Amino acid sequence: MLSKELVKKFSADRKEPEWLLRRRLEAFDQFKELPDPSFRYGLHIMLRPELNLDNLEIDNENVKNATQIWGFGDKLGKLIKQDKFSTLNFAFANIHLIEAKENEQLNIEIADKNQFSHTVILAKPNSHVNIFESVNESGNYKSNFIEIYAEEGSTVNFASLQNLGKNVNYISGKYASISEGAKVNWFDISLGAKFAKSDVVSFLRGKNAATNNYGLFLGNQDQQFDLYSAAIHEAEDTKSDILMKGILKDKAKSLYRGLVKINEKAANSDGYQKEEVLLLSEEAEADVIPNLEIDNGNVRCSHGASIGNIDKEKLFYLMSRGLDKEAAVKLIVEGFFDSLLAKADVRNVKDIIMEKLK
Amino acid sequence: MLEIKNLHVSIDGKKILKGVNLEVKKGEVVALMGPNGSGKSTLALAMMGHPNYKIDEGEILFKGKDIKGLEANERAKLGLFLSFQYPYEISGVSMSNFLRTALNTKRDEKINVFEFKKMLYEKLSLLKIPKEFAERYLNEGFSGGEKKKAEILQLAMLQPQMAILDETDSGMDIDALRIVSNGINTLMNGNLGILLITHYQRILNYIKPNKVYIMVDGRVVKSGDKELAKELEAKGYEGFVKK
Repeated sequence: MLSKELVKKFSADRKEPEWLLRRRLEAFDQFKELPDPSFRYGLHIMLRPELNLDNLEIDNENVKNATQIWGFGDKLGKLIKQDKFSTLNFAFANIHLIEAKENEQLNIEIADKNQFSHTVILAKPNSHVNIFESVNESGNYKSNFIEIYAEEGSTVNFASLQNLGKNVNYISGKYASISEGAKVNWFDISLGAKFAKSDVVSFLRGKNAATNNYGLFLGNQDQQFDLYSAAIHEAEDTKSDILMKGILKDKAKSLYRGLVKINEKAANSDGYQKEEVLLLSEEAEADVIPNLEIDNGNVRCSHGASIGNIDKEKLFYLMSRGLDKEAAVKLIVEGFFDSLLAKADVRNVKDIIMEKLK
Repeated sequence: MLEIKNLHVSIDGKKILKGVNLEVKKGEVVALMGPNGSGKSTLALAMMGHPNYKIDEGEILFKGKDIKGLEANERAKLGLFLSFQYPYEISGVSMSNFLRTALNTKRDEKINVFEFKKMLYEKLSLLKIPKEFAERYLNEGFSGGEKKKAEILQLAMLQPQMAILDETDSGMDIDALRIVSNGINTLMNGNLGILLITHYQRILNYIKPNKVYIMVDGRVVKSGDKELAKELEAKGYEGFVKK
C-alpha cells in the first residue's frame, strides 16, 4: 500500500536534501487527489488498461545517491504535465542527470531497470548528445520520464526502444525544451508491454528551434497503445515534423493523438504531422486524432492521417512478379517502416520487428 | 504458347469480355488494339489472375495448360509476365530489393549478390537507366515514363516466356519509346512471346508485330497482319465498331 512513510523512506535511503523530499511529498499528495485517468478521448475506441496504481508494490532497490541533480532542482519536473502517472513517478523516481558541457559530444546508452525513473538531460550550448535508451526489463509496472533541456545551438538525438514483456504496464512521458537554434530529434519505438502509454512533447522556445518527433509502434495479440506526440511552437522561425507509423495485428488496439500548436508569437514557423496505421487483421483497431492549433496567420502547417489494410491491388502487383501472398505482405510491411527507419539508425530494431511480424 | 479460347470475363456482375479468341506463339509479337473501354486491360488482368475478374467461360491455355484457376504468383512462375498500364507504388521497397526477392522466388537457390548486381547493371544499361534508379523505392515518385521503363526492367530481369505489355507506350516520349523498344527487341531473342496492347500504331514502328487483332466491345472483331494497324491509323476505330 502506498503511503507518505514510504515516500519518506525512499528519499531518506537516497540521502536526499530536504527540498527534494518536500517536492516528492507534494507530488504524492497530488497523486492522491488527482482523478484516475479515463483513457477516453471522445472516440469510439476506448482503451482499458488494468492499472491499479494505489496497490502498487514499490520497488526500493538500486538505492543510489543522485547528488549531481541537486543543483538542478529548478529544472527537475518543470516540463512534465501533472497527472496521476507523473505525480506518482515524481514521488518514487530514481533520478538521473546527463549533462553535456559546452561544445561537448556525448554518446550514451541507457538501460534503466528501475520501476520508476526520471532522467534529466542538460545539453549546454553547442553540445551534441546521442542517447539510445532500451526499455526491456521490469516488473509489472514501469514508469519512465525524460526531460531534455537543449540550450542554444545544441542537438539532442533521443532514440527509445521499448520492448517490454507482455505482462507490463508501461507509462512514459518525454519532454524537451528547445532553445534558440537547438534541435531535438525523437525516435520513439513501442513494441512491447501489455499496455503502453507514451507521450512525446517538444516545446520550441527559441528562434530557429527545431524538432523531428518520430514514432513507430507494432502491436499484436491484445496489446494496447496510447500514444501522443506534440510540437508546441512558442517562438519565431521554428520547425517541427511529426511522423508516426504503426502496424497492428491480431486484437491489438492503438489510440494516437498528434498535436501541432503554434502560438501567437511563433510567426514564420513550419509544422507538419503525418500518421499512418496499417491493420493486418480484422480485429485490430486503431484511431488517429491529428490536431492543429494555430494562433498565427503566417505559418506553414499540414497534417495527414490514414488507417487502412494492405492495398489488394499492390498485393496483386507484387504477386504478379512471383511472390506468394505471404512474401508480398512481408515486403509491403517491411517497406512501410523502412522510410522511417532510414531516418534514424537504431540497431537491431528491424530484426526485432521482423521477428514479431512472423 | 498462349491461347485464349472463347473467354468471357465479368467484373462485379458486369460482362466485359464476351468470347475472346486469340493466340500468341513462341517468339511472336501480337498486337492487340482497340478503343478505350473495349476490354484490352481486362483481358490483360484476367490473364494474370486478378482476383476481381471473374472468368465465366472459356480457357486461358499457357504452354498447353489451362491456368485460369492459378494465383497470380503461380502464373508468374510458369513464365507469364504483365507490364502494368498503371504500375503501383510500393513505398519503402527499393527496386533492387524487390527484383532480388522476385528473382529468388523463381530459383531453387538464392542468387548471390555479385551475380545479381552484374545482371542488374547489364539490364539497366540495356534500357539506358541510371544505376541510382535501382535504389529508389519501387515506382514511388516516378514519372509516367519512368514507371513504364521500370516495368520493362522487371521484364528484363525476370525473363519470362510470355509478356503482356499493357500500354507500355503511353506516357513515354519518343526517345524513351525507342530505347525501350530496342530493349524489348533484344530481350525477345526469338523466344519471348509478346502480347502488345496499344492504342497507337506508333510503337509498332519499332516492335514489328506478326499479327494484329482489333478488339471492340469485348470481342476481337478483326485480325490481320501489320498492314491492319496502318489501316486502323488511317480510318480510326469507327470503321470497326459495327461489322
